[in-house]
Amino acid sequence: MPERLGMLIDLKKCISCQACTVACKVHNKVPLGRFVNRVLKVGPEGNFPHLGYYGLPAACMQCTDPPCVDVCPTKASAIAPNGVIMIDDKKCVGCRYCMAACPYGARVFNEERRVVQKCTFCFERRERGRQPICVQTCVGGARYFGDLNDPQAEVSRLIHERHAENLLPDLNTQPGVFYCRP
Amino acid sequence: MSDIHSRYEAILDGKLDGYVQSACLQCVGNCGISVYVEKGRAVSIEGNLLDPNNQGRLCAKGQAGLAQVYDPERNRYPVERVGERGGGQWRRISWKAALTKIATRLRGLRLAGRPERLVFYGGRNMMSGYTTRFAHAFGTPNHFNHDSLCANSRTVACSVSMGEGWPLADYRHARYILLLGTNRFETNLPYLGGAWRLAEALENGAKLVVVDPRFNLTAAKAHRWLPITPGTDGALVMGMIHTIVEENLYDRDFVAEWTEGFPEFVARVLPSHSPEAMAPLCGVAAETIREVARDFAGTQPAVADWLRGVCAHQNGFQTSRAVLTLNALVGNIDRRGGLCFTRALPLTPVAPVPAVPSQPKVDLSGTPTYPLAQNLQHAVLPAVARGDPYPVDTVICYHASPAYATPQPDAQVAVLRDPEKIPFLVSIDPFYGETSHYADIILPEVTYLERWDLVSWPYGFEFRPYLFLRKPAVRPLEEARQGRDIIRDLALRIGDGMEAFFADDIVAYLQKEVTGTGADWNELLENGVFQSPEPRSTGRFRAGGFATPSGKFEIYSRTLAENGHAPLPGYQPIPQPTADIGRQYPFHLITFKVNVHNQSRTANLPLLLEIAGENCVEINPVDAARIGVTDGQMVRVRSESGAVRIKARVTAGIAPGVVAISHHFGHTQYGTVARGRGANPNLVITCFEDRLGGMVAYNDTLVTVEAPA
Amino acid sequence: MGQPQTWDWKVAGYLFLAGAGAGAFLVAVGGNLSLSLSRAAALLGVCLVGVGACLLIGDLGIKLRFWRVLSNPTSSWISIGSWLIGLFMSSGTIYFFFPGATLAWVGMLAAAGTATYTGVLLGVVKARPFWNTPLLPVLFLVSALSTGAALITLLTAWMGLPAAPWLRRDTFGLLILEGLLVFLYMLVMVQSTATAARSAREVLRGRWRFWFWLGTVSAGLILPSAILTLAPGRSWGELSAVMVLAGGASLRWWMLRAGARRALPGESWADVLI
Repeated sequence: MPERLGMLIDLKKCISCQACTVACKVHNKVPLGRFVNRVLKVGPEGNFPHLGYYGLPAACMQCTDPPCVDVCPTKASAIAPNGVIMIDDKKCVGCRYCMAACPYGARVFNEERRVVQKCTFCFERRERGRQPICVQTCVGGARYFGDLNDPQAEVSRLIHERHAENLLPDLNTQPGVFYCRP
Repeated sequence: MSDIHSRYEAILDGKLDGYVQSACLQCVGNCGISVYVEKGRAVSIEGNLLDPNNQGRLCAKGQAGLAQVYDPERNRYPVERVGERGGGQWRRISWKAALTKIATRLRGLRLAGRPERLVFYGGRNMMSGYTTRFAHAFGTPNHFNHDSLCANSRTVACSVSMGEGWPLADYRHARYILLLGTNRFETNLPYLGGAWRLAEALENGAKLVVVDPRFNLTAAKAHRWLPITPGTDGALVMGMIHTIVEENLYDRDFVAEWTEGFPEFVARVLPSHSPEAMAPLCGVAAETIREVARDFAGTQPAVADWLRGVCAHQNGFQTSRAVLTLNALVGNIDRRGGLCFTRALPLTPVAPVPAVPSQPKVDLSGTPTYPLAQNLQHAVLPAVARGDPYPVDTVICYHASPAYATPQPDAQVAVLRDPEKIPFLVSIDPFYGETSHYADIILPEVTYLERWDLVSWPYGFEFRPYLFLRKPAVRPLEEARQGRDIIRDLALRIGDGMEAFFADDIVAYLQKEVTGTGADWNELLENGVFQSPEPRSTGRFRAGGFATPSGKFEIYSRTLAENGHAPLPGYQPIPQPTADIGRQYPFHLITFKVNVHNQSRTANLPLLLEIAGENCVEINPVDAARIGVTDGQMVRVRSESGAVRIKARVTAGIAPGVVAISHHFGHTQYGTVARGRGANPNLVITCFEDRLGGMVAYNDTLVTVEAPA
Repeated sequence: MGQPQTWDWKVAGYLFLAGAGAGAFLVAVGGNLSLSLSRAAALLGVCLVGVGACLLIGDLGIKLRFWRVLSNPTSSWISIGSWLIGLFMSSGTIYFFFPGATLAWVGMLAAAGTATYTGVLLGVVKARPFWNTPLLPVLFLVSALSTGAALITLLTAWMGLPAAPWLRRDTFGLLILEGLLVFLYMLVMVQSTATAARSAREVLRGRWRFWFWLGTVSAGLILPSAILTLAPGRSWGELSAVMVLAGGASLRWWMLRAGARRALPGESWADVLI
């Protein structure tokens, strides 16, 4: 089976440190005020002293049926053979219809390059044999990255073992990014 | 030149793109970093995979570090004050003129036989060996770092109890982790190395209990959060100890063989510290105290770790002693999963080594005022103002900012701005800060990505000795020079024998320090770190005993007894305010840090500010409703010492009766990006201290919160 | 940590101009008005749609690449719409010079497509439940016709031609229909998912309440309907036309801006707006 890159984010392990938020921006040159990847703060919720608080790292879900790709008028957005949704900078006109269509708010407009930008699982780093920076830098060790089509891969195994879920599953976009509940 | 060295030079020269392995200094965790350099410009930072502590990870602060180098408001060239001190008027001067001026002045002190009138006011600059060398070669004992603002009470308590200063909790192998006043998932030293290992421990099933009046991100991950009354951690810990002893849950062998004074402790102190007696003091139910105590003793290995939430109180030293005793009772000193130590690989001293000057220090360390502690940084300028035990002529301020970092900063500023008290004030600083504002000469230093440091790092969570080498990822920008370079140039210009101590240039000096450590210079240059092949050792005390007078872990300390202080740990309440003060100032102010900022030096970094751009005063909804404050409203927080205007954040994540303000913000200098965000809590905090621990009690001030009419 | 706004007034302006321009063509040509008026309406329609298209191109990140949007007409409604705009503008232009029945039909089909697809463009976005309904293209088409009729009223006056007797009546009818559609739309949304209901509440009672109540409902629907019923004078009709245009523009604005996506845990309302 061909490679299908995906990720598991274990919210029990995420410590909301925001290392991935900043790392993503530095390594992917995301302008200020925009977030291709960010850790949402959920809480503190509840009444003193019974409180809950967790972080929700959210970036592109690398959907199998991606609404953003469907709406792209120039075919700049496309699913690469390994399942990662890529934007061809040379084709993107910056109409931002994909940003309207993405249910996860995972796409941003890059004012400097005048095109839309999104998570590529750090395409350039992978080319150099490195992990996506969010995976490498994750302080809580919450992110697992690998081939979802390889049942032996840690990411596939853990998705199964930990009963991982997708965000907004009812939209049936079939994300390649999975979560364990906090 | 080796291939490795020429390749590195090519990267610096912009002829080659590549990674430079160095070390972070956004906090003092000193994580290994790999900086990617394109055409001589640093473009990204990531964790160095070879560094044993962070193993490729890097926190938000570290990732954001490039903006330190490329901050357009950096100090670019030396300047000299024009007009009044603190007037903010400057004139550009050449390095030669600046250094000649300083050297001439210092040479005069030396020739007059008054070298002790130089005070070197430093911080955690990671080159204190070098700056101390300068001070000692010059002939002054007055070289200070920031210990009294940091965690001195913990360090001194550890030294008194077990002869070593800074144990790290071996989270990774602990099964039960009790954290008191330390927000381990957001801060601590070294933050990152401990945080990821704690996360791993939790994944592997360890139990985590967090004791903190504030519901932080560590409490969010805890199995149990105990929102304690501020300053009463000692009561909780003593209640736990009482239970452990009463129920015979302690490690009898370790206690019998390796502790000093246990019987006296049990007989004299424990009876008055039952959980029932402690519960009303600390706000944790007696039954909870017992439960936690039983779990702690029954789930081995267990470790209790603590930091500023405990030691930045006036009872910080004695509470730290109590926490240490708790650890010792279950035998978790220098044991897998307990409080452990990393041996520092000794760097080779570079000859000639200057003698330690014999004059007394101005901070009164080693006197009855501060019998045990060193580096009473908060007390230095007040002592300078008194001219006691002798007047001071010149202060060199480097990596420290009394005008921002010390409680009641106005008192510090009053000394800084007074030419009668400090006739000559030099600041070495990459940025124009609150303290450099009062300098006579500002020398522009480089940032941490442009300088050399070699450190034998004893804070490794693998508990194996290692060295790291910080080296420039880019050439110094504009006219900035690194601290070592400035110090050395100054020494050479002062002359009068000082040049002998600074004959080697920076790299040659560091190479000499490496010789004999087992590390290879080129390997260090390439990898950024050298991990000694020496395996982890535990229980080293079993071979030679503890480095204490008794050779044991001292529950009873003869040193304390001899100095007239309580020799046994116990709960020591922080001094109670008068009823009148308590009525006027009904809230207990505590401080904290957030995960994306360091003390004061990250408020200029846009990538962090867009995540956390200001600080607020956190207040419980019950209290807020009572005083009529709503979320987001501007309020006035006032104490006996001062007041600030700050936004209120109404959150259930803070105990009623307590309010919390983070550090990081409230800059009045430090560039246009940093200025005007939030408030500096030091303006409200009274500079209380624990004299035994030699530490400022940041968390003991009572305040009132007022909604403006 | 919110993201900045995706689509601003330029897109709303385009939605409005494309609707009104195409609507004017539909009303004039479809209503069998005089040839001179039909030709003028064609020119006006082409110009307005052209201005709208310029706004849209002006909104692109890289304007000179606008021609690329034609490359995906099988799945992207921006591509389909671009082809429709192109077809409308070319057929409308040719109609202006060489009016004829075939061209009228081609032009009307393209005009109906242009007026409707703007609703489809938003309506197919599943991520934004306030838009994601087949009612939206219907509402936009009706609004296109009402604003188109208003334009024809003004055009007639400007050209000094006699007003078509049915125009007033039909405009009134369109406004009633549009009012019912707006009512139905909000009713459906309030009863729909939490996000759609929140969007509807923000329109009815929140951030866009003035645009909705003053712009679309009062100026765009109630007052012109009342005027058209109660005040027979021609200048009253022209005033009501201006108001209808304002109402149509407001409709596009709140409809665009209130199209929020469902918030992820930890996201605020501001984070999920378009």
